[in-house]
Amino acid sequence: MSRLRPIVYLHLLRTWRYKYSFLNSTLNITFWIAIFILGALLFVPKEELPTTGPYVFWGVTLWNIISTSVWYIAGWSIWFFVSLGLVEDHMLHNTRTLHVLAGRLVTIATQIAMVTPLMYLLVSYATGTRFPLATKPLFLLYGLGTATVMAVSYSLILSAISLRTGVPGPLIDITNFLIFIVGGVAVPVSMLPGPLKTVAIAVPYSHAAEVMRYGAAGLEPYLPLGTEIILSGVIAAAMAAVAYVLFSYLENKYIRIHGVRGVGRM
Amino acid sequence: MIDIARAEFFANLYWMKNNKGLLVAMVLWPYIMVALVMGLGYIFGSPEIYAARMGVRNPVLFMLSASVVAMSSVTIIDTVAGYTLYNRWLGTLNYILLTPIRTPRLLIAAGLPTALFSPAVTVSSVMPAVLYFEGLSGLVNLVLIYFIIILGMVPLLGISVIAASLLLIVKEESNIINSLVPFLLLVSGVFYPVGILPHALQLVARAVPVKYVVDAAKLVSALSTETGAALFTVLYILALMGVTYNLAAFLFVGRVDAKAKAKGVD
Amino acid sequence: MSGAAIKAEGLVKRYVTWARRGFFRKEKQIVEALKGVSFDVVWGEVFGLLGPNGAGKTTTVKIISTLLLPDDGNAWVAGYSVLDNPVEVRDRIGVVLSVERGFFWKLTGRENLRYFAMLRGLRGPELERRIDEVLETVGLKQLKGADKLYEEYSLGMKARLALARAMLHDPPILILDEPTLGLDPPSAREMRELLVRMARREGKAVMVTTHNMFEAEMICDRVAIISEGRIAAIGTVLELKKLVAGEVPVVVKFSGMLGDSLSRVEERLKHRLEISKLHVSETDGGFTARILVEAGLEERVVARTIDILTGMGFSVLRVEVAEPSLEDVFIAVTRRGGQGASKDD
Repeated sequence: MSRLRPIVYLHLLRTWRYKYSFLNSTLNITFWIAIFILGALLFVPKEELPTTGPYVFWGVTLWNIISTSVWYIAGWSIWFFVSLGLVEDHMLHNTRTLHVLAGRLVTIATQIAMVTPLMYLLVSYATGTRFPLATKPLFLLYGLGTATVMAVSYSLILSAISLRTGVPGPLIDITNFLIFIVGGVAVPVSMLPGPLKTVAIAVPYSHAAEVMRYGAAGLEPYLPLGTEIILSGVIAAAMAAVAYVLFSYLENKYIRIHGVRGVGRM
Repeated sequence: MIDIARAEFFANLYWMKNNKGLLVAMVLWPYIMVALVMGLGYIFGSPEIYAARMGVRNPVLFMLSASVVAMSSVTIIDTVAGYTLYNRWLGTLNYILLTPIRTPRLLIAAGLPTALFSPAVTVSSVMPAVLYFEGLSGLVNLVLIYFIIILGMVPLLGISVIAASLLLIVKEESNIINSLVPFLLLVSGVFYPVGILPHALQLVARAVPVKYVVDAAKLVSALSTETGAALFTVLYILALMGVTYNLAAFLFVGRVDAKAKAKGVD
Repeated sequence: MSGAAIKAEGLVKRYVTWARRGFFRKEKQIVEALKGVSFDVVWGEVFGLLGPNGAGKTTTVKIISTLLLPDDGNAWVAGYSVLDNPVEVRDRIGVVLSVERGFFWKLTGRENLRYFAMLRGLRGPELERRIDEVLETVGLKQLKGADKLYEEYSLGMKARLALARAMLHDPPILILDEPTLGLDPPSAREMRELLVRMARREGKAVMVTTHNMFEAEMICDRVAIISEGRIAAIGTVLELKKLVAGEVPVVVKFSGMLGDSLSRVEERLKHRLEISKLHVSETDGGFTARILVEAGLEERVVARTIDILTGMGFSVLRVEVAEPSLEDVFIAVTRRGGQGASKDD
């Protein structure tokens, strides 16, 4: 816990110092999502637009959490933290890279807080309706919470891998998009075509998304609600445990045997 | 200037040869974009509604063409604007600015090969799909679209040069103007009619070359009787924009360049 | 404090690397970076680890700093094993791994120090007082650099900040990897004076790696010469110079067009003079060949060297028979491949 204060201080200060980049990212994400959403909603009959709105909004919000986490944790560690030699300098200060990277939640939360209202305005404009944000807020929060834990854990796993080998950026981008389309994030699992349902069930995020949609618009999940709640909780905990164990192994053993990738050895 | 363009051409060629992963990503991107919009569209609605609203015969073909336009625009702006950033990261920016070649010429020459290469790669990537849906006549249309894109890239090159010059005076290590790309695409109505946008954005769209490239792509995809005359109008506007924006770039960048040199470039 | 500040015993480190063979095939290669390195660093001394690039200096520093585990051997820092007590070791050392990495660009020097000081457990007024102290010690306060963003720092300022961070928790041991690399002469001199002061006045143990012979001779109480993963020689500068007793360094300065690489010129000179203790380097306005010659043979070697160099198209500018320096020891022991010259190996 003694590391919490400096880590929060660091990330808050950096967030402020990179304010123009943040503003740019906010606009960038909003514009891109707008391009896709405006295109996709042209397929929808006018009378169905109001009911589609909440699914699209929360799907996009969830995807934003996933992709922002991946870029702000895994991307940051791959292209900044590791290559600047900061892993070793933190080790020398008895500070775990895992904690510094998890602290990026501060930055992620700031970014999501900036994008989400714009997303709501966008989807409201496109669907022509001011839909309510939640019908059962506790379920919505549970879904969002477990999805965030999954996204952060997945990002930390990618970061851990990047300490030893290169992780190509386009691969991360493509995976993010695939998760959005076939992973039950953008679309309720029940609405997906046959085989894609199975794929979506296999993607961890879909269970959190189903609980979230139930909380947001009252849509019954594809699997029974109780099952989805347990699954999303268990998967989130399992992913966090994997990230923790993997990082612990890498930091305590692997890096000390082989050195950090991209950092001079001799 | 020709020497710089030739050097950039070979740099592009070797970059693609040595970054096969990124080349694969470039080929996949149009499909991912289409899959994303159409995937959502099919699940929430139907392609017939889309075709009717957009006035195109084949939504898949139109979307692939629109994705090619989008990807080419992204690459040209990223390359030219990124040229300033990339050289700043490498520490070569001040040497480049000290060369006898005027900065606007340098930036345009640096962007020219990309303006040709990028549409060529993305057009090639969608060829199998076009051949499948439309046969040989589709391919002919695609080649036509390729040349229209090239024409559209000329004014975009001017806009990119202006954006690149801004990065000479705004010192941030990330591309703080990369939201410009999705903004231009957003107002150009890549996947939807510009008419659904708020009035102010529709006015902005009139000054954006990508809009006319998309219009041309739409006309070629629709293959209606009025295509010829309308197409010529669009091409005329694009040519006019090409001259205007590049002239503006020359005038604007000259001033920014002088200001940047007076302040000191690093 | 009793005992050695740092004690390294039989350190061995191997790396696995992969060499590309064709488009898909890769070949596993084992690189033995350290082949049994042993030495002591005592309290109050500046100890230099001297060696060419790739000799194993940084690997040694990283093992002693607990960043790398040795494949064999052990090291103790302030009595704590780097294998078993890494946390205790880290609390007792201040490390500079690189003078221009390891900081956040968009934070000022002071903010960077504040962050790392907080990680060290410093809080409140004590934290700010300590930051002010180290900033003053390294001269950043005087340079008005404390409140500038790190990205605006010169290399000299970055080096000072790196040292300031290493000193934040007032560690009894400082370990610095090439601390003056790339610094301008005044900054390098200040850095050296500071290190000597900390060892002499504060009784800290200071270990530096360098390939700058002049620097090592100036500031180090003792020096270990490391070559190809082994300690080739260790002792005070005077002790090391005795290793080349009976030998005279001949320094030949020459100029001309370098048709070949410098190492090829060195090889040809070695071959034709039949002398292995010879080193050619690029110096201001030309090149310098430093040749260790058996006493009494210097005149013959000088004449022969002039012949060979003029035959190769160079102009000989100056010839000098010098006093033995650490550089000569370095040439002598590294050219013998670490065999026989070592006192402790």
